[in-house]
Formats: sequence, structure tokens, C-alpha cells
Amino acid sequence: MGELYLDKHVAYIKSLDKKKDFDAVVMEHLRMSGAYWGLTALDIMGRLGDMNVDEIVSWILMCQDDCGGFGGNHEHDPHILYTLSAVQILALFDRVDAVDADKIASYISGLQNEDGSFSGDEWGEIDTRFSYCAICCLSLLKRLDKINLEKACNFVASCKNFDGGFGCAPGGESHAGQTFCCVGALAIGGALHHVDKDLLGWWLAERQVKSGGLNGRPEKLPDVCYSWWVLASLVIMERVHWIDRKKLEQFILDCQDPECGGISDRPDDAVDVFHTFFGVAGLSLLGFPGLAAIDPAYALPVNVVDRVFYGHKKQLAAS
Amino acid sequence: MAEEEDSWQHGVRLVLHLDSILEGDPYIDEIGFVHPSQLESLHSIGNFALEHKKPFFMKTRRKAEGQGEADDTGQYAEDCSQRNEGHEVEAEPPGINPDQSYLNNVQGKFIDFSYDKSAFWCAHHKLAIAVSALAPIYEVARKEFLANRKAHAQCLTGTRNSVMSPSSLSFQLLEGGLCNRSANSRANGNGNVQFQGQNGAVHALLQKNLMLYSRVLVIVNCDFASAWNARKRVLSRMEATEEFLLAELRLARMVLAYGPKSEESWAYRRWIIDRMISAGLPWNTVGSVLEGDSMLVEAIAGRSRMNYRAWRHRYWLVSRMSLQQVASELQNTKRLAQLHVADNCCFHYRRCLLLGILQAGLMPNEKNVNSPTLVASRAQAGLSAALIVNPQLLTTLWKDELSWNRDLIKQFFGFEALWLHRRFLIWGFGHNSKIFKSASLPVVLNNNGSTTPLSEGGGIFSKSSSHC
Repeated sequence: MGELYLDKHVAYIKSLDKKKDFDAVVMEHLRMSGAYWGLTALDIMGRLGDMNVDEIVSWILMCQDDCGGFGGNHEHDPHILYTLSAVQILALFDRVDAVDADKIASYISGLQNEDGSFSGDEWGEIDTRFSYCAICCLSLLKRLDKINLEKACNFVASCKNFDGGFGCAPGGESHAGQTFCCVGALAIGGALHHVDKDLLGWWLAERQVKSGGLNGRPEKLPDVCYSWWVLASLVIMERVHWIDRKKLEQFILDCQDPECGGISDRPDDAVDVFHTFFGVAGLSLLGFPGLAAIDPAYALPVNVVDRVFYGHKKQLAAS
Repeated sequence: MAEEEDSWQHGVRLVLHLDSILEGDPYIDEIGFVHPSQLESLHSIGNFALEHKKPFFMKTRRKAEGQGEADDTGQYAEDCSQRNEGHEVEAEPPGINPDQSYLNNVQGKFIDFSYDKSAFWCAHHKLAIAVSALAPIYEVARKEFLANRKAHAQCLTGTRNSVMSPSSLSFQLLEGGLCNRSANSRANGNGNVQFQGQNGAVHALLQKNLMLYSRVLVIVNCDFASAWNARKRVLSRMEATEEFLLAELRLARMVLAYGPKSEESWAYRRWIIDRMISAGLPWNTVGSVLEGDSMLVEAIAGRSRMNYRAWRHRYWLVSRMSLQQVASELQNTKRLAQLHVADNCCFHYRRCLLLGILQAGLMPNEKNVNSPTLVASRAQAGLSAALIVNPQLLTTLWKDELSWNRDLIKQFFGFEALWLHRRFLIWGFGHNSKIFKSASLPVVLNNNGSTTPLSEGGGIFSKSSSHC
């Protein structure tokens, strides 16, 4: 039971693009994020080389709007979520130079509001996820100076609740996914001092249930995607030893589909690329053998992040 | 080649039928996607009375073969907001949708034209669509939507110099038969729109098409953000009438009936409400919309447990409410919380209300409470006045909440949500000593037998045992 069906998962991810049934078709509006989940999972499993880089990069560029932002797919409206996914995929392929970084930076900085928060797009919805997207994306493009970073971090800090967790907006219920976005944003933005690590660490540790899986809020069922959000937050806060890692590992492995590949939200459920990515990413954070290391804040392989910030010098120095 | 043409025409016909049904009954409050065989049985039911008090269509979650129904469907993949919930539904016996009790007095027009009965069923403000019809509808609506959007955008830039008064863009959608509509607006199989008439008429036509196809799109795929955005774009350019905005709210509500976690639908409601406020609609209207939304969340929360999106919407509403509404929210949710003691969302909502009231009661330069709700709102003045009359108001409120919480814990021992709420209340005392400074505060019993008021020292990690 302690086995990772790596080849099956690779085959599953590769098969997704060919699906033309209605359920697959109605997900077209978020294909950019779907591509990010699938490709990053492949990279962690060491199989990104199987993919056609040029085809993917040219598709990504087709999804860019005149304003600089990216839509979820060709002819879909731009949104900060897909802009981050697009840049992340380009970083995976070391093709960030294929885009005009200044244009993207100006799109994102245009979405920042007076109070430091970020709207998802021109229609004004505010959510801490968008703050994470903005800070992570601009950091990868090395243009964090294009926004008011201090205000952005202060806004994120204002979404902290009495239990140390973070919600989607000030006053929002603490939620593990939103918490990851806030902790990740503060980490990248150099403002982790806003996080009460002991208090939040406690709340996050409480997410682990009897089966070993992690939930996202009190009283909820465990879900593999929280293996990433809770785990990555704990890693960033250096409190990952506050949960039972062996049990979590077993829970994730139990969520695999050994026949068709892919990982589901909890054992015996239908699989999807979203949970496949987070399951694999969670295992990587837990140090599961055979998987590349993943950066808990950028949600990209460590060597990709190193390449972005240190170029190829680090690889050369190591050789 | 002939087969492809047929399948496209089939899709076009379905889209137009759907549009006509929606036009025929503007008060449809529920949509369900059903298996064709279920559609047959719906058609075979003669006259029936709406007796049951449950929503008509209940979505079942997609599950792996052989697995039983999850014990609490509301918790299943709740927070994976991008997860497609699938379209398999069980049609339950017809019932009155509790979200829509205000509609009980509304007589919808009867659908008296013929529509494709293998694809649709509509009666008593309920609409069923066969799952097999979804793909062709989606394909046509999507293509037409994109083509019309492109043409509309080109039309706008091309006619920048011509004067177009708002009235020429009125939304009197054509009544009448399908043939009228299809003759003016049908695109050919490649999605290219035929231009007819003069620029103003063309613009109006394209806009009408955009609204037609975007509506069909959001019904079939509620997270197709670009379709919602197109509607916002059109609405931004026209005069916002109460009737029109209310109709948009009904559309979002219809979608939420089958997709209660649809982020786009909730966001759309917020945009419409803000549009109402900025358009200067009478406060009575806005106030009752806010109340209606709150009830909508409550009804949805009843069957979609711990729905983050729904509850998030509810506390967004609070920032736009009057003090009276906030107070009644506090009163109303008490009953709901008692029914669902494991539902952290409901208790969090109460925390928001309490924090909002607390922050409003603080001196203006105090900023040690996290809550955006009431400070800059209409409730501020009302609360200040109330506090002058009864300075102990907040303390009483807090103590009542604490003792109610204690009773719940005694009755339902072991529920995390209850203990979390208790932690919050104690934290509240500890962090707001200025407000709660009073001899009648609850006390902490220390190990040496002495007592300390809760407002002083000791956080939730205090070693001494506490009781209230």
C-alpha cells in the first residue's frame, strides 16, 4: 500500500487533453490552471520532457489579452488566476522570456486597490487568493516593485482571524486554502512576521483527522488538496513536525487509482488532475522518494525557482 | 456533411427553445439536469400540486461506481472550487422551493408554445433539461456567444462617432415566435453573424444576441466567467432599471439553485447589488434585496452545508445593512446555528456580526478588532445611539452568547465548531478590555482559588481553568 503509481499518473495526465466528453468540455474556461496542475505534476515526477513545449507555449500566448492579462483559454476573459498559471507554466519550461513581463506587471498592478487588496479582474471581486497570485507572479517576473508591496502585505495581514487563520477577505472564515495563499504571499513578500506561527500552526495541525488526511476547516471531511495547502503552510512556518506525516503520506497514497492512474480527493472517489497535482505535490513536500522537491511558496519545483532567481549559475556551480 | 449540419441545427433549435422557455416564464426558480428517462416521467405526470417543502431538483454528487451516497453531501469536495460537480441529478417529487416563497403569489405565464419535450420540461416555475441536450446546447451557445461578442466589440469601435441614445438600446426582447428571432439573428454554421439594417439596429441586435447566448451559457456552465462578464459589460452601458437588475438577480438565483457553490454566480449577485446601490435605487428595494439574499444563503446553507461561498456572500451583505437588519440577523441565525452545531460557517457568521457590532462600538481611533462590516456603514450611528441608552449593551450581548454557547456544549459535547466559538468569545473579552471593563464580567478561577476577570490577562492558553 505504500507504493506510488507514478507511471499510471503520468499516463493519466497525458490522456486528459484528448477527453472530449461534456464534463471535460465545460472545464475549458480554466484550462490554463488545469495545464499548470498537470504540467507541474509531470515535472515533479520527472516527465515534463514528454511534452511538446512549443505547442504549449504558443497556446499560452494565444490566451493573452491586449491588456496583458491571460484568460483561462483562448477567447476567454483575462483574470489574475490564469495570469499566474500562465507565468508558472512558462517558468517550468524556462520560457518566461516569451512574454512581455512589463505588460503583465502593468496588468497586475492595475488590479491593486487603495487598501492594498487585489481584484481578480476588471469587475472588482476581491479575494486573498488574488493577492497571492499578484505577489507570486510578479516575484517570478522579478517586478515586485511595480506594486505597493507593503500595502499588499498589510491587507493580507488584515484578513487574519482570532484563530490565527486567514479568510478570503477581512472577516472571512479561516480556510486552509486561503491560509496557504496568505502565508505564501507574506513569505514571498518578506512579511512573515504578520503570521502568528504558534497560533496558526495549532489551527493547521488541528486539520488532521483520524484517517491521517487533512481537512480545510473544522468539521469537514479530509481532502487531498489540503495535503498541499496545510502542509505547505506548515513547511513555510517551520511547524510541519506538528502533524503526523507518516499518516498523511498513507492517506494520500490511499487516494490513488491504481488502475487508471490519478489521485482523488479521498479514497475510492473519482480522480481529477487537480487532486492528482496536489497529492503528488504533498508527497514531494513529505520527502517521498522519486519525486523532485517542490517550493512550498511558489508551488513550483525548487530547481525551477532557483533557475528563475539564480539563472543557470547554480547548476554550473554544482557540476 | 449533412449529419454535421443536422447536429448544429439541432443545437440551434434547442438553444432557441430554451431561450423561449426562459422568456415565457421569467420566474423560473429551479433548474435541474435530468436523465432523459426522468424527463419522460415528468411529462407523464398530469396536474400535480406543489406540496413538498423541499427543492424540486437535488443534485447528486459524482461518485465512483459502487460507492454509496456520502453521509453529508454538503461536505463532499466542498472547497475544491474548481471541481466540476457533474450533471447527474435525481428528480425529487415536486415541491415548493423554500428560497422562493415570495414567488408563491406570482403567476408566471404559461408555456403555451411547443418545445422539444425530449430535451425540456417546464411547469410551476421549474425547468428540467435532459443531460443529453447539454452538449449540443453548449456547443451552439458558445460559438454564437463568441461570434456575437466579437462582432459587438467591432461594432462599438466602428461606430464611435455616431450618436446612440440609451433608448435605442432598450431591451425589449422580441415577443413572438421562434421564426422571428431566428430570421434576424441566426448565424451560419461557421459562427459568422450576418449584418442587417443600420448601425444602431445592428448594435441592438448584437447586444440582444449577446444576452441571449450568455444566459444560455451560464445556465449550462455556471462558471463560464466570460459569459457573466459580457452581461456586466452590457449592463454597465445601459440605464439600470430596477426591473432589469431584479431579473438578473433571478438568473443568478436560478443558477445557484443547482450550483450553490458557483463562485461566479455569487460574485454576479454582488456586482448587481452594488450596481443597484450606485444607480441610486430606493433604499427599500435595496434593503429587501439584501434581506432576500440573506434568506437565500440560509436556505442554501440548509442543504449545502458549510458552503464557504454562500456564507461569504452573507457577511458581504452585512456591510451594506442597517443596524436593525444586523440585529435581526443575529437573532435569526441563532436558530440555524442550533440546528447545525457542526457548521462552523454559521458560527463564523455570528462572529462577524458580533465583531462588527463590537468595532462599531469602539472609539473611532481604536483599530484592534478585525472587521470591515459596520464601521463606515449606516449602522454606526444607530449603534452609537443605542450605546448611549444602554452602555452595557455589548457586555450583555457577549455574556448571553457565552452562556448560550455553554448550553450548546453541554448538550452537544465534542463539536469543534462550538469550542472554536467559545475560544473566540473568550478572546473577545481578553482583547477588548475597554469595552468590557465591568465588575459583572465572567471570571476565571485560578489555581489558588482567587478569581480574575476574563478581560484581564490570560489568553486562550491560560493554565487556569475557566468557567462561565
